Amino acid sequence: MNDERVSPQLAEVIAEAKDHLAPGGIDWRRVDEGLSKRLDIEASRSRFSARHAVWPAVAAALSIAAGVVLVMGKPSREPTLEPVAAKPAQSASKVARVSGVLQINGAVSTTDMELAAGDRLEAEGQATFERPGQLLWALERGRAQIARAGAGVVVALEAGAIEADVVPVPQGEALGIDVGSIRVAVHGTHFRVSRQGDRVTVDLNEGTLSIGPAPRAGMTIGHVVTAPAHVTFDASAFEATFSAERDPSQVLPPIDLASGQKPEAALAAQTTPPESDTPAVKRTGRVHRPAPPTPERVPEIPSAAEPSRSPEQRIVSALRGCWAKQARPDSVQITITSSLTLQVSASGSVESAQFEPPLSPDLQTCAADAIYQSKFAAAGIVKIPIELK
Amino acid sequence: MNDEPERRIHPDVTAAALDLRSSFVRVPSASPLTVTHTDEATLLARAAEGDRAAFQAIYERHRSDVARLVFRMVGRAADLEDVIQEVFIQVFRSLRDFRGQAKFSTWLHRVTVNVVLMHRRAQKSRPTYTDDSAVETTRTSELGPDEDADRRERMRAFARCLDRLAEKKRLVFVLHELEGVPAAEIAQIVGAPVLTVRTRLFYARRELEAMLAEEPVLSNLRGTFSKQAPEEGGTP
Repeated sequence: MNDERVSPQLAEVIAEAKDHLAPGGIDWRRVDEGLSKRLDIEASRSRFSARHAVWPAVAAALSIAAGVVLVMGKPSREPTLEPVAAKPAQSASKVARVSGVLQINGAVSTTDMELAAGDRLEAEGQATFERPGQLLWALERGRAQIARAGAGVVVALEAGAIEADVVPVPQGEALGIDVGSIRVAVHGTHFRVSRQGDRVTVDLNEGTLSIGPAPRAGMTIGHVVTAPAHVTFDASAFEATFSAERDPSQVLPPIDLASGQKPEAALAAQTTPPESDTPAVKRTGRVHRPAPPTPERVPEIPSAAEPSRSPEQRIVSALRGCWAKQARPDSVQITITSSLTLQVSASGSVESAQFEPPLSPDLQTCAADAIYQSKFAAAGIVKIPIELK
Repeated sequence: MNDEPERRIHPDVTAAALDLRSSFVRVPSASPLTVTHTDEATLLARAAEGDRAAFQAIYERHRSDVARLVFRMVGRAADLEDVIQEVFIQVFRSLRDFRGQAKFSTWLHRVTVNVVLMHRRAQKSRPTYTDDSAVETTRTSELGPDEDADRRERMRAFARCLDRLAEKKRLVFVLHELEGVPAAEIAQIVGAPVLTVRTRLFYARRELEAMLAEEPVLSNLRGTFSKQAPEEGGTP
């Protein structure tokens, strides 16, 4: 079974733990009684008309609205069986299609599973959900939680992107996407909300959105945006950073949710993959100081012919140069936003650099030379907003 | 056919077993006469249709294994009984979805893992192995009270080390090293590629080996009693 080497000490502990790391003092009678009561409740929720009676006293206490009599020790012959799992009266949506792996509450999910308030979703690829006739929405390479499942569905987006096609409702808001305390509320439209850390991008192709602080009840009051619109904001500083562009060329084109079209543009723009605790793939925004130059290694430093440019401008320029070198599909327009925080020493040198959200390791490494060779006029913290297209 | 209650409940029990029918009514969880794949498949099919006796038999057969796995993942004895109940409630609800494409034990492991993960998220706290009674030590004839106390102390220390592992690594380590589940099955249970499972296992072992040095009762082990002593010492 153990097909890889383990140290002798750990192997000894494992050997002992296999036999002796076990619970003691379980009151099985209490577990049995508790389970029995809960199973009775489960049974009473379903439409079983007859069951085996394992616990005669419990069986005798069961009463079913349909008035079918229980027969001791006799299997039920009634064909009208409802699924045992009692689902909430109103489902937020149903899983329509999965590309990649979708986990609901930590369990791998399949299609047709119903979502309920509180359910936590994690999609490695794209997972599409529908409320037939009302909503069709997809979670792409991210995490979300169903905050509300009622007449109006609210989904809290933690990472990644949600694209939705929503049928207008006569009252209220058909769908709300929460990013922190900010809600993107939908009145009937096709739109996309993408989150990288606190940086949020909303692309509106049809209809109207209302974007503002999430209300405790009622309508979302904030910026009303009509299509076409490309909106960006920082959820931690909403009003100060809110920006909406009406130029259609800036708006990410919609994907056909009904056909399960893969959002190549959106997937390529995702620079922050879902969290992983495996060190080999864990990404941080920290930019490591590059190794000292060697004869073979030529650092990429800003041109000396542009002395009038500030160190911030030179860093951004170097980043754009690194970005331009990365291969991307020709037909795809990708926008990356981040924020670079620099710790500058008294001598004006950069002591540390951090991207939030992190960029790809290649991009960060490429820009490291330009970052650490920059000289600033004063010590302190320098924040540089980054947008790469 | 003689329409006795026992035969109706246990249609696949052999004639030899029927001779003993007067000595028991329900299917015993560890009886060599009745623990067969066919029997379990029959029980599962019946339980899926709502047969409470069949479900009871499945429960009794697997409850200790579930309890042990839950304890090794959750740790705290106070929550143990609730989580065990929740596991079997989920089994009861989901048995219809079990198509027999995987082993029932694999499916049961998956249900147990899911329930534990949901429980831990609901708790929003790390388990603590501070309850003396939480760790069982089997008194054997060759162990004196001092040795038994030493063993309990070692197990408590090891439980503390397990607690410090990240959840995903602890999960694969417990399933693979303590429960003996192959990596391929673990991959099905946790919904991750086999390579990811092996990677997590690698790092779990490495981290635990480092933690052993920090626990005095474990750092003195010399691997003299190891059943899996590798050909070479040291970490991979």
